[in-house]
Amino acid sequence: MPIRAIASLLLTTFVFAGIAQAADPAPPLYPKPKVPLAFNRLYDYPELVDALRQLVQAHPDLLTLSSVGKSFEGRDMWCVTINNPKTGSDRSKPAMYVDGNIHGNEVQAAEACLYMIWYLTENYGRLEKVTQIVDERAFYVVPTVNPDGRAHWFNKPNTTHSSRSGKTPHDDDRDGLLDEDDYDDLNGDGQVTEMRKKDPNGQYKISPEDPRVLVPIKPGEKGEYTLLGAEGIDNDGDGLVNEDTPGGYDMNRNWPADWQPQHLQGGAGDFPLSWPETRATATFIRDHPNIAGVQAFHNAAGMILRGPGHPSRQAAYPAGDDRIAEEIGRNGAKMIPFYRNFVIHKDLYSVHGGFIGWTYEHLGIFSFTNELWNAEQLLGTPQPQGNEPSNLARSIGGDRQADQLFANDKLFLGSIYKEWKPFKHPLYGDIEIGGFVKESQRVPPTFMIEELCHRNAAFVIYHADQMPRLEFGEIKRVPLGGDVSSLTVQVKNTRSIPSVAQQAAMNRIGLPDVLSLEGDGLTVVGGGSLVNEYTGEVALVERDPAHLKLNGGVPGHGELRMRWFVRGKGKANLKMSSQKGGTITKEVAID
Amino acid sequence: MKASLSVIVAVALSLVGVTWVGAQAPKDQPKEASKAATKPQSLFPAGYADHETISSRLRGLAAGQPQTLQVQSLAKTREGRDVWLATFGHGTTPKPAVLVVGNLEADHLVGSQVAIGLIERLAKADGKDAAVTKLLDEHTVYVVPRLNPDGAERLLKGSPKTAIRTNLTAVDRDRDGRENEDGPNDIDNDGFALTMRVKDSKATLVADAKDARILRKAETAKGERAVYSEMTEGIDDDQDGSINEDPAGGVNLNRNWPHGWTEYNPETGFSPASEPEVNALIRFAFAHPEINAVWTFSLNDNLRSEAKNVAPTDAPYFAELTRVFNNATGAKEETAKKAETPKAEVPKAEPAKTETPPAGRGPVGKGQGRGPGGGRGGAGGAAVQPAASAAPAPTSDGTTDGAMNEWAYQQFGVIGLGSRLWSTPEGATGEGEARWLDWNDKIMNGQAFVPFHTVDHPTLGKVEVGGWKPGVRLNPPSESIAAITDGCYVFLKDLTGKLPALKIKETKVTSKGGGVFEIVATIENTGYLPTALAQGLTTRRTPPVLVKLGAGKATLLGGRALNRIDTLAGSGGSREFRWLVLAPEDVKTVTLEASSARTGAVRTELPLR
Repeated sequence: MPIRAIASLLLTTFVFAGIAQAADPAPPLYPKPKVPLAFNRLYDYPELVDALRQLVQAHPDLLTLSSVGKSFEGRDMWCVTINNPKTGSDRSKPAMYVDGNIHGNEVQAAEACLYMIWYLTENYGRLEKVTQIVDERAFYVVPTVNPDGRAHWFNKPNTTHSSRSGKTPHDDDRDGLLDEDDYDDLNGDGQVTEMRKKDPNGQYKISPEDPRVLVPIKPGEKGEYTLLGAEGIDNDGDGLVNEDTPGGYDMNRNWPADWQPQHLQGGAGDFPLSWPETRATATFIRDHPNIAGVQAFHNAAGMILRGPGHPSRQAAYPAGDDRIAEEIGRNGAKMIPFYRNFVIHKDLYSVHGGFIGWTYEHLGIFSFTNELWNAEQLLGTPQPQGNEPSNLARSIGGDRQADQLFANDKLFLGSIYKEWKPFKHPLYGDIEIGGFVKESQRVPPTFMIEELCHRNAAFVIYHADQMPRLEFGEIKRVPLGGDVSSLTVQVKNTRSIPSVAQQAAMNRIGLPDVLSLEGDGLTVVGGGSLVNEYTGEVALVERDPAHLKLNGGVPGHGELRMRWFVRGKGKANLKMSSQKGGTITKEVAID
Repeated sequence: MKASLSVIVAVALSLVGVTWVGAQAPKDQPKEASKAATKPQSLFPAGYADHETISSRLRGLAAGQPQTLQVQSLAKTREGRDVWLATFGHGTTPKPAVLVVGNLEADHLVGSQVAIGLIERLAKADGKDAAVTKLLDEHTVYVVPRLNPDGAERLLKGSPKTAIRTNLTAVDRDRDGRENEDGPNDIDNDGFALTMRVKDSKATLVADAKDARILRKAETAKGERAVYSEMTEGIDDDQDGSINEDPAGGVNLNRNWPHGWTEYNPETGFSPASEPEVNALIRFAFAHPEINAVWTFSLNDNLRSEAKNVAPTDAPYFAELTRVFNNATGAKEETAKKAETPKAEVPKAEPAKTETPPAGRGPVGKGQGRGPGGGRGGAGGAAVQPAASAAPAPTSDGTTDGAMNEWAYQQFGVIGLGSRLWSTPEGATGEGEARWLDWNDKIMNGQAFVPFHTVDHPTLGKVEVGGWKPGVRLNPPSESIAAITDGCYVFLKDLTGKLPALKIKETKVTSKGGGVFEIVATIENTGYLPTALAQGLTTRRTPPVLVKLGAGKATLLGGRALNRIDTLAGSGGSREFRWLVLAPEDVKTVTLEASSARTGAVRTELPLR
């Protein structure tokens, strides 16, 4: 249907809009999406891949799809590269790496990634800021780095926390058998909920607040129930229930910086990067030294986390870098209500071998993990005050069960909770089964997914905007008599993140930035940084003054001034190349 | 058990007596030294095998004994060579195993010579020597003779010949965006890149008064004026102002293991187990829980002397192995230490210690860190790379950081041993450098050390070139290798025989009437080593011994169907189990099985009626 026909159709229904269009066809206030993706739902793995393909097909000029590697079960870890090739290759630009769902059950991470791709492409050419960011930066987005865990969460009955691991078989109970005692959906309702048994000697009683909730008895009180854990039987007849579930490790403990073996850090794996998923991800990031920002999406509890994961690593976080990261996180917490700006080991827990610890400590990349969704958002209950150590328990069930059940009854119309029902258990006899379903607690309600996606995508775009952005500032040439002149060049970084992190300079990570001057008929006879612009003191380099190596790069919202002494006349080609700040050039006439 | 132990030791001692005469007799040094001096000695690498020789020797051995010796490729190196793994054993089920790994460091070729020699000795004895045949009935021996074929080949055949300890992973040591572009060069065309002495403004050294071949630090406080700086022979290939600052290679395969791994150092790798050779081997180890001991031939020697950082209940086992090794090889302990006879003490898990990365930075990290940093106006200046005077000296000589044998004990939780195999030149006198020079002069007819001579350097003017040829101080003359291998062979057999072994020692079935039976069984470890070391318990890496009663249709009234023993002490450590079953008339037997992935399985049928 031609555009004019649509306009006349609109005229018949929307009179005011119709008049405006007839006079001067303005873009619609709410444009029809080029790719109509819904963000009030979650996508299982095939649906997710399909959505990515739709986006790439609709925007072949901006998006490419590639596989970072294959999971243990053979699923591709798809990566969407957002880049405008007309403004240069992705590798020539500072890039933002975004991934999610390393914990298979932390599913909405993939939708946050999907949304960000969708939003940037929908608004490219429409919003000036989006257009600028897409033109100047590249994005590598891997919505799920644990597709097996994701598939298992969607396709199999699970608890509100299970399917966190990848699916490489693992002998959790060290009996020589692999993954032989998983949870069981005993009552066939598609969920793994809780088991409880009436027991006059039990340690729990019915809560006065809500009869569905059990609370621990106080000394002297009479018990009514015993809690028997998640739904399941003793599949392997070893006397234990659900003790060897599929996988059984933690891919976010498998990274080389401050990696600790299994007995010191649960879930760590045999050695760093031991699983196909972590190894492939690390190889991809290593092969893209232009990555200057990292964002990992997890759930839950509403946190914007940065390293270090463990107090022993604090020395690896120089203050200059941390000040900048803290500010980015602080603004993020303003952009995303109910999220707090945290340092992992100080405000959450101590952990070794985490992903963003590695990307910052070993690769010098400013990195964040967002824990998506805080159940406090559901009823708008007050946020935890001050520096309360962890709101994880509060926000995902815990002592807020009564509130959660209120929400279940009134907001979800009973859909996120299975009422207790009797069941005959082969080991425990007469029990009751019931509790929250897997798509509650850690996972937002469908009607709040889009808000979650937008706020967090906006935070990533803001972080991407803070990656170094270099430009030439003042350039001054002074003739010194004969064919000798001095050339003073200012290089500015107009964003908050330095082109070389202090961490990277300290540990000689990656290549130093290089500022060079070349030109026919020109000889650079000396040069270096201008230490004092009033006295004119220049710290001369020992050799090759035409290519000045800048180990510390250009500071955030800062500048460098370099001075060359040049003989001859002609065109001077200035070039500033930075692995994480991109490459800029300028031509200056020396005449 | 004690009796049989002493038999083994006696055998070991008698073998030493036979094979070591003349080659190395620690008790009568001066006399033997003069004898040795009269024999011609070949200088390394004469008589050492290259990759093709090793490959064909292994293929030949495997073809001769297809039933007992398998050779497979564990990994492909960067240059496409196979890392060979030889598996020795009878039958197809994995049995308690020893893993021997040689030539982790590129320049430690003696390790691969000895490893190949061990395979040849086992191949020869298997089926003929009853003790060896029995050993291979009950155990598996895995041997990786050369983990680093690329590095070894570079040392043997590279042009010029130069010291290399790493593999050939491309590394950009000077961070100029190019890899391996400025290595050592042969300025005087003698086929070697040796040492260069330069009289320049950076001099800190003077020639020693006793022997001008030895340089020492000038004592400036005594008014002594420094004359020389020292670096590897070479030129500034990439014209960046530094000489030999980015040589070929790579990562040291004995520093790429996850225990004590050093970060921020190109020589240790991008991550632990980042190198294809190490990655394949660590995966192999985790896939083979029957490995009870790992023995590396490497510069990190913890076998001749007391092993460090070992849990107190494990230390006596290491001490005993040290004693056996020194007896077998005639090596002297480096620290005065009495070998204790270990008690059959039940290993205890130690409180776990967090891995702490070594504090020091890598060889190229020192003092070259901070650039302009956060300062505005370019404070700090454009810091160029300081002219590296020489390729970074290997810092890895004997370090425990990231070493495979340390990993084997600390993280894998098994006996982890390392042997340097040769460290002192025989027949020479003096200490340290002087002893080596004496060996060069008296035994090697001056072939190991090239006298310093003046050469015109393209940019530095007159320099002196000379020094030790690559590898000659790590790898003995090939004539010595047979004797070293003989000693190691004795030790390998002893070590293999010391692995834990399960036995169902006693069983007793008592009818209690009414179809009720009491079953009592004792499970014993008849081996010398415990089924799990203390460190194996700490790391939870050693699989427990599982004791299962298969009652079939009978009902288990008391006792557990599956029992776990975290560890059984060696030399007869045992545990008793008790069950009560109610068996219908037609149930005649129950089965009893004790097994672990580390020790294998034993089972028996117990008749009830």
